[in-house]
Amino acid sequence: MYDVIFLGDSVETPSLKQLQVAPEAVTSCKGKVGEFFLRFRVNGEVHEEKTRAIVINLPHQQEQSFADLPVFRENLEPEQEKNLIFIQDHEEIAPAYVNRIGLEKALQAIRDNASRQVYYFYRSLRFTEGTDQLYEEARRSGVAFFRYEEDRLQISPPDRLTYQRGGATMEVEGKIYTAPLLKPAPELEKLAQVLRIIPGEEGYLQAENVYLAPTLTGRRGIYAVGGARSPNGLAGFEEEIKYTLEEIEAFKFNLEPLVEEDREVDDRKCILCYTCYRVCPHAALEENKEKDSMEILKDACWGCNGCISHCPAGAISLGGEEEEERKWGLQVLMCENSAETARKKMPRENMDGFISREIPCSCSIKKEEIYGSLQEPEDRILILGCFEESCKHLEGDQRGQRIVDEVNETLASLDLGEDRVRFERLSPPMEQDLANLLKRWREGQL
Amino acid sequence: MIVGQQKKAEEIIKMLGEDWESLLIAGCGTCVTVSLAGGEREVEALANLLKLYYGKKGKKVTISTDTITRQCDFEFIDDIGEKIEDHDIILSLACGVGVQHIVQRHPLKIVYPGLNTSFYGATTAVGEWAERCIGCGECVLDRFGGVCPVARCSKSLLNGPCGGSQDGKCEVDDDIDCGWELIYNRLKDIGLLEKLLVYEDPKDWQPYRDGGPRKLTNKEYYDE
Repeated sequence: MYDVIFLGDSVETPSLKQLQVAPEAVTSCKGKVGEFFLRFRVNGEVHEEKTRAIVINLPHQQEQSFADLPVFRENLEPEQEKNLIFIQDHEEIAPAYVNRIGLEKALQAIRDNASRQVYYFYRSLRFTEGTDQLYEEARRSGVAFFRYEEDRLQISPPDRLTYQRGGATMEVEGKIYTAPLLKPAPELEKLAQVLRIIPGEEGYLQAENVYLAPTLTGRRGIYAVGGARSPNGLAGFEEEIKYTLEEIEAFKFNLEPLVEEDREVDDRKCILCYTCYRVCPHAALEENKEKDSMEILKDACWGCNGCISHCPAGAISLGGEEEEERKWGLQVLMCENSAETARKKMPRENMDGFISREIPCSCSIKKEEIYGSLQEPEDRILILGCFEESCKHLEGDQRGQRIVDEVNETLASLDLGEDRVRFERLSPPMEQDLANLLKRWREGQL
Repeated sequence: MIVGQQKKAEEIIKMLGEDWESLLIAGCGTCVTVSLAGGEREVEALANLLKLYYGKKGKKVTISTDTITRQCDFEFIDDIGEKIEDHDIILSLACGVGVQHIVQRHPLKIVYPGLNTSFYGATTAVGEWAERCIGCGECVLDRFGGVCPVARCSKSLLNGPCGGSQDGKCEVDDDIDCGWELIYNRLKDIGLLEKLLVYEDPKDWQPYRDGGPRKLTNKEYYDE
């Protein structure tokens, strides 16, 4: 058993037993944090190794932002004599890594030769701890910074550009370096599939999500660092890797499940359709060949109940769960990670007249239960989930929203009311918004 | 597997009509459960929706549910045989095979389909299925790199592609991959492009539907 397997570059870890595997060699990854079974193929031979954790550490792919102009890189040694022009042409907030390299190179250039001009044109900068200090130093040392809007900068390769701002036009000349465009490493798409990780929008292995900071992926025990994590992955690489290895070190001795309750798959009802396996954002379900049924890997489970609500055979349940007595009226189902926290901070009387229930995630709602709870004309249901990127279960809010949309479409088609089921998003500090929302909903003014 | 899609509730309600008091919604626990159209969860959801609808209409009805392992075998249908007899109408959420098998077992019962039987397909993503076979009765996959020209080319061409293929997409719809581009790329990838130099004779469609409804017997059980 290894403590950690690095996919990509390894990092020295004296206290952890480690192995390095080429990412393209990986063919499958079963098991869970503390006991993954990683299969990979080397020279045509299949190997399987057990490991407590996996760290994916791959470099970014860097591409030119302008075809004819060189990019600034970590190993760039700016030319000695000429004036230098740096262009950072990122439309949205620039990746911190790009920012850091650009500022370092500009600062180095002016320190090497204080008599030259160093220009720094940018559309956006990202300031993080460390980079704002670099920016200040570069400014004090004489680097001239200019922010530009699209179309306000005309470049004439190889060494001239025109800058317009507020009616004024400036022409400068010097060796031009442009910021690289960062792309996810090409191996990431396949790795996400093989390791069953929900990737972020650009294809990096860490989705934009507050619960995954700093390096965790949606699958517990698998971490993405550097260029595998996100465009900002490399900015604090040392801290990232330190934190990651410390966490792996910690659960080597003490690995606790994230959830208390037992979720069970009834092996007489399970038909091995793999819906739960595909729906689970945390890769916490696997087939148990002996039982001929899926099973939940407790250490991997984050407790969203998405598997329970989506199982088409009704085979998964919360252990000890008893059929709830049917309730009527104005029901509010609140995600424990957002609305329920807000509710606890809100004066109690705001909940008067509502039947409220805490749910682990908005993806845990069932359409059959919703229809079952609308049998009286005055019945209405309000489901309160999280904002995108704040959903602990990555896609849970979107799944919840889709269930509600489908239900509403069907209800409307049968003339059973267009707005009896409502989905809204909240975050934990929004207790005032929750109070207002409930008031308006009760009055039918949402 | 057989992929199905539940009919719209409006259509089901229209089909059921007015002249009944008790309804049994029967799910099927195999293919259409996997394709999320007719398993236990869908059965319960539809039952609750219909109760809601008839409740609002003021029509007094009894709606029961049951989901059996397979509606295409009498042994499983018989598990709910009495329940079937006790209800005015059976709404089967199985494929068309299941619906007809209940009809055959219960010749005097009214049995309606709650699904549209869509195709034979594979799961391509969560909640997504794609057609891969039409059951033509004479498999040709050996000559086409394991990509079926009959099911995956809109024209079922055996000597394709046609002139309507562009950028890997079919002229019928931009969402459809050109089956012949898939065949070509696959044969190229496995170094067997020369297979495409062989002219394919017109396909004999008799083993398909054109020879009439089909029936198979297994030699272990029947003489020729």
